[in-house]
Amino acid sequence: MPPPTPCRHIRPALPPAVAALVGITVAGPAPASDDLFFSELPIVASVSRLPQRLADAPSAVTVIDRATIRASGARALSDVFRLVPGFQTFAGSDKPVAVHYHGITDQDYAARTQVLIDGRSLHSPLFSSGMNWELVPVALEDIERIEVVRGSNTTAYGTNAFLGVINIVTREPALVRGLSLAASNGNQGVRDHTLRTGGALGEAGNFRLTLQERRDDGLDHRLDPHPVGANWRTSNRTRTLDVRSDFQLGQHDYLEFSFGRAESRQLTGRVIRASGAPEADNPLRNLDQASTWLQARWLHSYADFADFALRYTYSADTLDNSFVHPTLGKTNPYGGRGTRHEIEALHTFLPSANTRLAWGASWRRDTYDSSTMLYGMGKVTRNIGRVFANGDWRPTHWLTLNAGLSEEYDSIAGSHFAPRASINLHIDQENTLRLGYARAWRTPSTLDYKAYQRATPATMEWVGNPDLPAERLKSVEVGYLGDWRAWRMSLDVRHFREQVFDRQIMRIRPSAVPGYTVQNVHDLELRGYEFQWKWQPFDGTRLQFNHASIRIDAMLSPVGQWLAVAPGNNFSGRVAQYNELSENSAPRRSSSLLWMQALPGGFDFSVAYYRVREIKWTRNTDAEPYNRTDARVAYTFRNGARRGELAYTMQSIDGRHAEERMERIVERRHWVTLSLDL
Amino acid sequence: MIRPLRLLALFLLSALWAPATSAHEIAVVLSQQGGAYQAFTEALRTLGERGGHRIVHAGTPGEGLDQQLINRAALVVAAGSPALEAVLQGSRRPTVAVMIARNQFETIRQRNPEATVSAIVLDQPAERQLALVRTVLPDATRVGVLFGPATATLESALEGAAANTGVRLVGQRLTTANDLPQALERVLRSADVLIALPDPLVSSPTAARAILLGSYRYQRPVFAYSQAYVDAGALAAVFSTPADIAAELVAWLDGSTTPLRLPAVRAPRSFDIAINRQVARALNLDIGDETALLDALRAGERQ
Repeated sequence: MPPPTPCRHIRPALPPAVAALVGITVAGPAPASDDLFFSELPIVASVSRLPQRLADAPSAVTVIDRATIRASGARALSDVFRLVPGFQTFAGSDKPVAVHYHGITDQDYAARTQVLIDGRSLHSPLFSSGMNWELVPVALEDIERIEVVRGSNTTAYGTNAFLGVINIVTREPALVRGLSLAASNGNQGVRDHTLRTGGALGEAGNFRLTLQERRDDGLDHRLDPHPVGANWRTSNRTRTLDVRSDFQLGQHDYLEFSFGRAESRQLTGRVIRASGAPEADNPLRNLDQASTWLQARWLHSYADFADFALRYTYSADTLDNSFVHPTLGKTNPYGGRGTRHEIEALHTFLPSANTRLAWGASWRRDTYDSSTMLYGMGKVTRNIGRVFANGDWRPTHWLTLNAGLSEEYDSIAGSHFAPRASINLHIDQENTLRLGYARAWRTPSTLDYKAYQRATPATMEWVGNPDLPAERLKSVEVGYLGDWRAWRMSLDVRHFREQVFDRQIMRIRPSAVPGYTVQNVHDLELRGYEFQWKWQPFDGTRLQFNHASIRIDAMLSPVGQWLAVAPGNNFSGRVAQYNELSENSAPRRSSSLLWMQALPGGFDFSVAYYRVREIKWTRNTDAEPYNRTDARVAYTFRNGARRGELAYTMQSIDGRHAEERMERIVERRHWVTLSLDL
Repeated sequence: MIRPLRLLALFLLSALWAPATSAHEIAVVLSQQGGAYQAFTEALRTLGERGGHRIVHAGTPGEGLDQQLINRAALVVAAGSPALEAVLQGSRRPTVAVMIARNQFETIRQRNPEATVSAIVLDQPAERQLALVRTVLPDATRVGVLFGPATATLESALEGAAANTGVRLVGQRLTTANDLPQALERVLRSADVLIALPDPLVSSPTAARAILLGSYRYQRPVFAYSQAYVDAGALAAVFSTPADIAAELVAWLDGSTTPLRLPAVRAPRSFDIAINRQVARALNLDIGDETALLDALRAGERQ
């Protein structure tokens, strides 16, 4: 292959999608054998599709493959991130599951780590610009791999990639054929059913379709001693429909259509501790949430050194947990409807043999409509435009330079500019040192600016803070990557210092007038290190050990200092408590170990072990340190082309513990899964 | 004593400078005009006329064959299987098929048992394909191959060559296109590299796409049979270009006698390789210079 010359891929317009050599169209019927030697093939190794070498990456990256997801024994996607150093999550119950990197919790929806599925951000205007982990629109079985970027990268992934990125890549429809059925049955009401299928769509197209329902009885509520009726179990049910199809049009063009819907029903509300009776302004009731989405993507590969992608995404999210409030009548806290239209154009190319550049622009229109949270305001619209460029340059074999910048315009939050740069020194083929620097912004959610929620007909519960600045990040990191191929071993170490300015906390009442607001009360400094060690001593044995150690120091921001001395607010008397919320929002230490072992006779076995120090998820709750062990044994059998698997999974083998708050007990949960590929 | 020596020297000289037997009229039938077939005829004309042969174009199946030219020619060259089928329908002249896959040539020959026909096939010898793998990636020991119905017969040849080269073959057979994802996953899981064979089932555009995507997922490079496959995303390929095939044909013509005795069915001795540097980098492979690799391969074949 000749080295690409700079002039070859600068073309004024996109050429038509027709390629013919020897009169053979690429997407036509299977050609005769001798034609195969000279016929063109679709460009698969396009510059944006080829994986980037980890040693060239601007941040630490944890790659989770299918085998790891399976071995982890996870039923929910959020549980997989227990295996990523620096990440925190908890077992789902009445509180929406959250996945955070480096803490800074408080909100129900994690907004500081970007979550993408096939390029589509799952963050929603309805869910405080955050990710609702109850509405994961993909079945675990359909995930090809997850790339977790540990470190800020807003220049490549947008404002939500403030601290990190979870990039989920789903299975290519071309690699899914036939019909697969799976069913799980276990204690605590575990009943899961999955149907997956895939096939060809004409000569050049493929599709895959998945239907899944998962149910369980949630977790016990611990009150000692138990008043009658106070032990209310939660209950969870999620349903997913996920369809992805693609079409290769000629040698250069690839079209992708996908759509789906995720639904969740949970029990929500509160009971009065003394009597066990439901609270009048927060009774036990169903919480129904749904997310419907549609995406179209066109990838045009000029050649293997330049491509252009255009993506359009639409999503609509709804939340309904309405009840009749004693004084307000029908009310739907945090409920409503949010929609998002997004269009993004991305041009990736190699200006020279050792330079790669990706630049593009996107436009997004978010709407949020809630008669409870935006009382009397109707639909609120927010427009966000973004231009960005990211590049890497390898001037010599021992050096890779990465740089990126983005400018974002937000009709509510204003304009923000973010730069990022890193230097990777390849000491030799196996050892790389990395120095990274990034600045980033996280813009608050529509509700943070505009909320107008009533507590009673005459008083307010939550009002927006129009003066809220965006959270600001300054991050410096030193990384090391060892990739000892002969030993089948790798080590990734990240040492970081992240400064978050104007960290925002909910439910702060700035004066004696009722009505909570979001206030930027803290400046944080996060310091620590993470490492991840992987080893495959034998073909059938894989080991992985992860560890994170982090220390968060909170200082009062100028707004925090003012509130700490101002009269009448609810902050001044509880400065220490808020400090704790920021400083203990990530466990000081957390470790995980995964052992995957293939056994003879079609059996395999895996154990995951987790150690998590104390953590504070919300202002009024605590979770003590816990250890947790999950294990899985599976037997794979074959009958001709048919394949099946019988698996037994047990979570929390070590028994009762709390993960989110002491009142919710995680107990041993186990289930059997039978899956058949027909 | 001087005279006979001088005679001998003269004879030797004439044998060297003007091979008495080698100027032939060659009728070329192409499967169609343009593309790789055109490249082949042009190379054949340049090289053949340098050797004193007369190259005449005798049509395509589409526009009709010039039977007069074919019947007059010492040799008919049929480029591609449609051309070969058309030639064998209308004539029994000695024919060499070129630009053809081995399995297709064998199928056509079986249907025409009385024809005087041989071929210079496009398929690279199994030894050469494995030598490419070993030269590019000396550490690769398990070589995965997907066999379709058209290539199932190659399994034993590849097995034998693998045993000689010191690598292990991990083969999977496919009977329908729907078998591909499972078979591919099994091969990629247990092999270090994958050799893609020119089989309509395994190397259709859709299948090639699935194979390449799978190969990146498992970080297993694909070794293929054409420049186009390397452009699409295979790590490397070994192939004979239309010019290589023309050179092989002319070399045989130059050395042949009258009447012509057809060569055995074979692959060209000259070949080329292609490497996709971006794929090599993405798969974190350190691969030597193309010229050096090609020299090493050629030297290996001369031994």
